[in-house]
Amino acid sequence: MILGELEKLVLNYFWTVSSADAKQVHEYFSKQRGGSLNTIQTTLDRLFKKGLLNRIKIGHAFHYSAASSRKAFISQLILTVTQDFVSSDEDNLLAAFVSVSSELDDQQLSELESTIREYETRNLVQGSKS
Amino acid sequence: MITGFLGFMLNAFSIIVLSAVAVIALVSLAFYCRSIDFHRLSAESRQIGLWILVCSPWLIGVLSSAIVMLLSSPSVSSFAGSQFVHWHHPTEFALDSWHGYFVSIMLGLALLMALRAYIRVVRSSNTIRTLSAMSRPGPDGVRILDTNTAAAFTAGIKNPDCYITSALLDQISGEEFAIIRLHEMAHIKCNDPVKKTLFYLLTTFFPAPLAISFNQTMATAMEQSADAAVVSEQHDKATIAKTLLKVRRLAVQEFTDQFRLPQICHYGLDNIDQRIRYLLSDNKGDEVPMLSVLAFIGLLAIFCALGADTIHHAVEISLHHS
Repeated sequence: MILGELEKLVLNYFWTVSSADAKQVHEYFSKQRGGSLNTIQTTLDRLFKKGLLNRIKIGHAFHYSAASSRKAFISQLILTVTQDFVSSDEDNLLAAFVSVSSELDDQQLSELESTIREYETRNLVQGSKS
Repeated sequence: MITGFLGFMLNAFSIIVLSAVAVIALVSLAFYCRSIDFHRLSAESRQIGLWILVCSPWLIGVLSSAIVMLLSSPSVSSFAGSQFVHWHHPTEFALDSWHGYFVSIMLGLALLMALRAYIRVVRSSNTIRTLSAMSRPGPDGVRILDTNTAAAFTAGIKNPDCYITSALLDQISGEEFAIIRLHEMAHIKCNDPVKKTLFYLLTTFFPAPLAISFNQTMATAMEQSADAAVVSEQHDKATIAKTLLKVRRLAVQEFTDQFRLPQICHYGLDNIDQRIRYLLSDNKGDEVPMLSVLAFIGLLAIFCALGADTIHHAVEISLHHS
């Protein structure tokens, strides 16, 4: 997912308000960093096409709102980067503590827990003998 | 017709490509026949073995090309070896010949595969940059991502960072956090994200199932090495294993709650399963028999040099006769 600086700022803005049209967004950002209404409209359109904003037409103007919460958006990004790249054609730039694509079921996880308990018992017995 | 040094280099390149294709085919065959088994090797040895394996087509290609071009040189023409291997036009390269077509097609394919892999790497880098922008500084140099998803990972090529989500941080103890942090820092210390990327680029020249298996084996070996780095910091193996299981349970629970998990066909055992069993095992596996591997590479280079020369003569004789 490629997001420009302004796109990130606009997205952050929509996580603080429920909905806004291009004029309201422009008004907010013109105080902070300037820029034309046209730039804001293009940015909103890009974010909409990327699926990050929803929009509905009220009168002549589009009213935009965030498609997902900030937390859900970050979760989606994490999922994208932690997906097992070798099987999903995705990421290899990271080393995850545990792979989210692990396919162990509850029974296999319980077996692993037993293995750890056995190891602890073995160590305890060896420790008391020595 | 290209002559002189450029002609020499193009001829050398065509031998490299011919040998590399032969080695990739040989490695694939050996892998499918299960002649290559990395599981009895230690985590570090597995990484070394995998690097040798993915570099072998190019290493052997360069060696065999050096053998052929050296024996084809006029100064060593009296040497007995030149009777077996002789490239009769080492400084002449015709673009509109079978050499030209072969080199062009192979070069085009290689560029296409490298470009495809590069685009994926760039796309991933952009996602990581966005994640980085969404994160905030946390304790002991880690970066925190505010989300309901439990996860911890290291990402980034230039300046890799260790990320941990607020959901995970809220559910782990101080000792568990220290274990996760040490594990991720071990990845940063070993430049694992860069190595994984480079390794991934090299595996793109292999058939897809093989590339997947190589990448999975490398990822597991890197994780096992990072786990070993935590053990070396005086942490109890059982506690590390328990932390792994806990994070695994938390991570998957969160992901299944919110997203559909990607369906994956694993070749071997699961990553976590292998890591915990390896961590608790006293037998850490064998070392790479370097001498045998080097001897094998040398032999394969000679075999490829002979093969390239034979194919070269066979094609040229058939073309002259037709």
